[in-house]
Amino acid sequence: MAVGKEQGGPAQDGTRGTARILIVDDDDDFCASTTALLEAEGYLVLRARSGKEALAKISGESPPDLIVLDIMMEHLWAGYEVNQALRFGSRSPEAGHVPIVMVSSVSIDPTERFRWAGEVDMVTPDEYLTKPLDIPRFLRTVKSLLRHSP
Amino acid sequence: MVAGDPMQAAVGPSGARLSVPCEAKRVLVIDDDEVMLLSCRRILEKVGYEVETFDNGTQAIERLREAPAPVLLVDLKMPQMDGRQVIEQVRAFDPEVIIVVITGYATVPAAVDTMKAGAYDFLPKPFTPEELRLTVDRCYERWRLAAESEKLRRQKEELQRKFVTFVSHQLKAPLGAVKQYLDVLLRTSRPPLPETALTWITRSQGRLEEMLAIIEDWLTLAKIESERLSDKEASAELCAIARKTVDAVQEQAKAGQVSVAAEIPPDVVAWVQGDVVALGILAGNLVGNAIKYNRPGGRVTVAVAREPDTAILAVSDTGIGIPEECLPQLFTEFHRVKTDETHNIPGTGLGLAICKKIVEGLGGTIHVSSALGVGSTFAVRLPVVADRAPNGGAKK
Repeated sequence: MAVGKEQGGPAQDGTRGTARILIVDDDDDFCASTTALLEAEGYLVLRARSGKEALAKISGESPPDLIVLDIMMEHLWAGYEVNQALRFGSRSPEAGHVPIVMVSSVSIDPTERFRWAGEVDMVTPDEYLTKPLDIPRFLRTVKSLLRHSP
Repeated sequence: MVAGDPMQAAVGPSGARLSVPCEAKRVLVIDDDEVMLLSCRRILEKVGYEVETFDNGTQAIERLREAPAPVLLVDLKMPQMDGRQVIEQVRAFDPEVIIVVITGYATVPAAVDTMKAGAYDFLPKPFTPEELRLTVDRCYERWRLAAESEKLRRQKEELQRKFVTFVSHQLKAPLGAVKQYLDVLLRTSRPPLPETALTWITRSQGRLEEMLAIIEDWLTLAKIESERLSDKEASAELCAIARKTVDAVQEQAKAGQVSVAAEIPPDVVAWVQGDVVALGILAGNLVGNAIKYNRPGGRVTVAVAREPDTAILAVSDTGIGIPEECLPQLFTEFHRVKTDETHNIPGTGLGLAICKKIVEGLGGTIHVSSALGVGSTFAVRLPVVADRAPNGGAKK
């Protein structure tokens, strides 16, 4: 995991130094391009290919500063697993407040997405973006969520 | 008394009974006259029906509850529960069984009365074996067609649901991955890419955007057809949507050197059936087209007007106009006007098809008038509903 290349230096989250972003997705290509994008902005990027793997990455160490989470429609429980990991897997009390950006190829209209998330007892995302990412919007979102997290 | 598998009474989420495929040709007969029961059984079993007989309504209803049947013959005049009561009780839990009233007291008012209660046919006694067979055959056939049609409807829904999931995943996901590689490549490449690579990557991005746009529109069309997009229970205010659309396109308009303005008198209010998303897509498509098929320095006007029962959304442009021979085909899928002028204008060919489906799904109409070289006007007429609160926003 290389620290971000030269484009303004390591991105700060304001409290702990270089911000760590966890991408949870089984799509290798999406991960590769999104990782390159975030590292170029100076973030540290971690990767998990499933909710279970995310749990392993989170528990036992300090939780990430932000999570990019694929909905993974064939496997609806991915978000649930990540939620569980955040709330119960980590010993850190701040774990429950990690901002989450949910991503998917499927476009769900805004009024639908939160209702859907509530129904499967998933974590409610802080933002929902469709793939392929609108890069300026994605980076703005990441920046803003990191700035405002407790 | 029944040969063959007992039918499971399937119940849907609301408690309503679901169509259960009856494999056997079963007929239930209710009559307090034992002779009548015997002859019905004899006549119908001869032509392959499974017959169950009951001398009272209560037992028959109990039987129907546990095992639905296609056809029910019921006598009108019975001591404990009369035919009409039986019909009413059966209809309370089974909307599908075909009911035939058989009775010696055949009068037109009585017939009409039982039809209203839910009977399908009326067979006056005395009847010949042939008459009974014909009636029951006809009723069974009717039941069979209804069950078949329901089965097909569900298959179609299932297919459409699978289609949407398939297209989302199998097509959008890989295209999206490729597009994102190119986007990030252009953005993060150090050192910057050589010129040819730059050009070709940019062109590739364009082609990918085209494909993604077609898929998006195709999905929208599928969603409308499966009625999942237009929420018929919701209502939305057309002026607000029009104004919002005008705001949203300002950037696109500026790029095309076209001015887009709303012409909506401040006192006009137009609540129409439909949800904000569908109506937003409708307005967005029309205004987007008006900008695309325009000329530098041109204008687009979005107007909303009211008639007592109708709201009219009109999008006019000072654009290149539409050739008259293209007008009949304009709203069909994948149709695009192909002239020298339109050659470079991007589009999926689905925008107007989507508009038409949304409008017609909401009980409205859409018309176009156009003059080549002058401009076009698309007018959507939608039924107005009584003022109500907008559909709820995001729950959290």
